[in-house]
Amino acid sequence: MKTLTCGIVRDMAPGYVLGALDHTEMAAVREHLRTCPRRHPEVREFGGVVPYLGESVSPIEPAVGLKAAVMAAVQDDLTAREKSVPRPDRAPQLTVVGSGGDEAARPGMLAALRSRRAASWATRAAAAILIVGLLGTVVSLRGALDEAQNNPDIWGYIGEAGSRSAVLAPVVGAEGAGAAALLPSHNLKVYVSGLTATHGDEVYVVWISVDGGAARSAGWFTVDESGKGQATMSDLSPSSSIVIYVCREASRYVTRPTGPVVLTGTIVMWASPASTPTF
Amino acid sequence: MQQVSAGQIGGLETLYDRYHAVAYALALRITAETGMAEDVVQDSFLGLWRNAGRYAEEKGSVKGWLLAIVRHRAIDAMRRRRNGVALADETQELLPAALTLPDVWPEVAGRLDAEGIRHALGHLPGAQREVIEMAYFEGLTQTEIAARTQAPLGTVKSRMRLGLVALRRELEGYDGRGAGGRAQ
Repeated sequence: MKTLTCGIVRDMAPGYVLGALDHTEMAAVREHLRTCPRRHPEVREFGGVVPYLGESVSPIEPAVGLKAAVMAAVQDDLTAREKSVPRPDRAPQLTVVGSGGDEAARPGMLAALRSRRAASWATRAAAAILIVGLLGTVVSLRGALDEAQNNPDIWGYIGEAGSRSAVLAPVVGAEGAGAAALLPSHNLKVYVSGLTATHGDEVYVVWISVDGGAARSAGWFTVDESGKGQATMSDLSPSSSIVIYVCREASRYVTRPTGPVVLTGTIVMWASPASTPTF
Repeated sequence: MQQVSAGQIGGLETLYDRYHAVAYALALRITAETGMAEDVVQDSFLGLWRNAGRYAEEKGSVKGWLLAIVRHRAIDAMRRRRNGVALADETQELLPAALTLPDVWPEVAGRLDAEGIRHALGHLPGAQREVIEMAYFEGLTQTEIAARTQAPLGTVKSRMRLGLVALRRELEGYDGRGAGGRAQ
């Protein structure tokens, strides 16, 4: 990161307060302001204007169902928070469920899934899918991997240092495939392809169960003839797992999974002796 | 906001009832798509709920903080759609602390409403208003604005500076009767 002088920061202040500098410049100015003994009143003066820009828009009422969706998401978050367990000391390891990957990892993952005394239906569903995967839906999983590999967005996220990922495999009788990546920034990215197009109010909802908690929506998307869709959710900090399942729903405003599961996968995070090196 | 920080959902519901319409309007202005705007609003209130402990009253209003979150996430959504690149996750640094401060304007802020702010924006020279709106509502960098408007980068920077100075003057001069006092 380049070091800036106070004079340069003064010149950059308008762009800084509007977030109109590139990432490196923003970081450099931020670092200068953090360490500079001078007060840089110009940043305060210009910056004082910015919050008002957002208030220049006239209020517009959103769809009635939005409030219910917001409150349901918050309630789910509160429930998950209450069920959450302390994070492990060690950095978690990437595990791809059903990908034909680390053989040593599977017993550990099964044990982790079994250990949940009050597993939600989401966890049970994922376990069922896992068993099916182990029994031989190799072809569909191979297809899922191919789909992921052909998508540079997915591959970029999966390849990001410190990310954990999972292939999203189709359940029996379903089509499509995808991949999910939990980034170090705690953002979850989900990409899917090969899905049947949606019509009318239909959507695909990405449901997640964090650490065995209640299912909550991580986003929704419609699918056109391309068969592709994506969703993002931020601020996820699982301690053991994220079960992901993509359901076809009649409306984006559903607060619980109601439609058929199409794809599923699990990002598992643990620190078992078989999978974690000694530090 | 204290209720939200304490994990009381009722507090979040109060904030939603109070600010959802302006939050949605801002998200819609940036995304120009109702579905995406609704997602942004939902994600923003959830972000506010999860990060309520980081809110500092002395650093600005809850409304300002919420709108900063909405703006960030709306621009992030648009940028992802445009080129697959997401903004850095800056939940803790949505804006530098100074930017969420009402500064030294409590008396001004008290009489400002959307109409007054639009009035102030409307009094800016078109080129200055354009660069400010491109940066704020579209999330464009100065370099991107220069490319979009085919203006030299130095000109864009100059317009942005002059525009913010002028906007501040207009806001300070707004008399609450639908006209900028200083401009009259």
